[in-house]
Amino acid sequence: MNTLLSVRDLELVGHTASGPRTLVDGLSIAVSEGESLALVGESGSGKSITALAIMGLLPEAEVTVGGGRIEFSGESLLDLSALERRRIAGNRIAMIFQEPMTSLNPVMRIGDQIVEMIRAHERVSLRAAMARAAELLADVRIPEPAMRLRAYPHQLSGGQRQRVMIAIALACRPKLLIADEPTTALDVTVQAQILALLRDLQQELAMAMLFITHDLGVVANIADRVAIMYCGQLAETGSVKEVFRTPSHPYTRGLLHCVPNASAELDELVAIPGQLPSASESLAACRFAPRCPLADTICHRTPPPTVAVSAVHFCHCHHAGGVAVP
Amino acid sequence: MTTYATATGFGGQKLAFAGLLIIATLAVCALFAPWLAPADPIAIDPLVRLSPPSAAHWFGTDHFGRDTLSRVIHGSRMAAFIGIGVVAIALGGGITFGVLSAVFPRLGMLLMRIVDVMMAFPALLLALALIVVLGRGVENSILAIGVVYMTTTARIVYGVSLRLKSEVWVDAALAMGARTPRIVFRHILPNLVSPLFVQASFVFAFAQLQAASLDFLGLGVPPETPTWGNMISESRIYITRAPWLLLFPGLMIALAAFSLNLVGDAARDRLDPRLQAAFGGRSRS
Repeated sequence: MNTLLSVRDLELVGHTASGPRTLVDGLSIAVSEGESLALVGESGSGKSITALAIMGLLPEAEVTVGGGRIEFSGESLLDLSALERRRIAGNRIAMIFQEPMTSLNPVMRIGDQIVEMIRAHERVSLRAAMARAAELLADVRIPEPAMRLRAYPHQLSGGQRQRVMIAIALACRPKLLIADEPTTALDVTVQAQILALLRDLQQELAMAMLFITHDLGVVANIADRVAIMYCGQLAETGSVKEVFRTPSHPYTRGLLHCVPNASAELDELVAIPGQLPSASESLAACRFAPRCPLADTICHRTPPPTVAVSAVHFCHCHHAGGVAVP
Repeated sequence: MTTYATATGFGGQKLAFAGLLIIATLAVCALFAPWLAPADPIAIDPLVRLSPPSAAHWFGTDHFGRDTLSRVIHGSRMAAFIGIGVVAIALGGGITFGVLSAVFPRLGMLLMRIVDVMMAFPALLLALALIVVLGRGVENSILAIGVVYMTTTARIVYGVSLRLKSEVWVDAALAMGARTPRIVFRHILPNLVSPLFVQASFVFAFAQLQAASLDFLGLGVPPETPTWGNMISESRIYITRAPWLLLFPGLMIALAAFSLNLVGDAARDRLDPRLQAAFGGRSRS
């Protein structure tokens, strides 16, 4: 399969009052056409900022690209002008956000918002665009789409708004959809519906998806491959099946261990000891070393190597080879 | 019920409704002054100089024997004209500078520092300084007061625009390929309507007070034009002999400012942009 999106050695630097700080350090991920990659990490691990960097939406005063490449269909995005990037955004790469309650303009009818999106990228008449908008709403399973076009965002529920956001994102049939925790703000039942919808649409449209989440249950549900980040570094990547069955990075194993099992009787929730390094702390060569049960001096001194666990499964850990598979 | 239905009607708010009624009455006075006024506002009648309120002259007469009621009614014309002019200048300039500052941060730094300097002056002092430069007259009064309130309006527009710019839906629009003009005209300006409606009502009210102050100081509208401020200014030496000459125009200034403030307050409660954004458009009361 052809690689659609490739991020190589991406470095993102945050500019804080206390000086520059590396937020994303040497991140490399790739998404093939039609494939769904889940980017997993806890809050502050750099996953959302990576998505913004791909879209060209970084708040420039606060975060800048320190190095690396982002290629989409062989085109280097970081070398494009701002105008050219806006042309790709929405048209070939679309994005949906975490907060459906605030990601629609409150004073515009949703029909107008969809139409605006279509007409920003294609020369079509208002009437044709409206018809397309109604079809899109039907595609995202909103009942009575023709009527719903006239609704304002506040007249819709959170789940429906997220459906509208998906409709807007899909308006120009993008090759890649970036979904930044699209279900985090929704009820559990609505979450499941939105996930199912995204999975269906992804397959129908043969669209690639970069799905950002911190929920491993969602990953199992929606992704073909998974990339696990810790504190701006990649910990482990591979097919969802392999990573879940044979996690090779101590962080991944810790995460999977933390997922409560409904069938087992548990008195306490399992947690990884320690916490994310704070902004003022100096970072170890392997970011996870201070919390890692296997860490030794090499982990603090030398950045972890990439270890191929199998042909589709890579781990960034000094001890990956010696890690016993439970 | 939707916000948009409740936001447009002030139903249930008696004070705001009363304010609206007073404004409507004043607007009718302004529109139909020549037909409503019982006498010519500049006709002099020395025989009835300084006569107290009576059946012939409801609000009494001034030192030239001019009918105070007619002058008060005609005064509402100038009040409305100045109010509309000031609001147009304050909002027009305020929106332009505020939005530009929010969209182009470097320009914003410069513009907002200029606004800071201008806001450091008391409103009346700044208006006086401008009048000194421009010369007196109706247009110059409007311009001077308009510039004074342009600064506060620009500051408000700047603040709201900055907040709007960081809204997720603006990011979403950018992610969908929208460019700056579209962000400004579709996503920022329409969301400024409700805060600016509130601001407009306050600017209109304060413009009345400022215009009256300028007139009183003899630096506003030329004295031959009947305005509330001019009437007070001319008759202040008769305050003990003919207090009605100050009472009625003073009452009109107070009423106009008060009723506009009532409406502005009610509108602010209904249209508070923060509440709209935070609770998906539900209002407080």
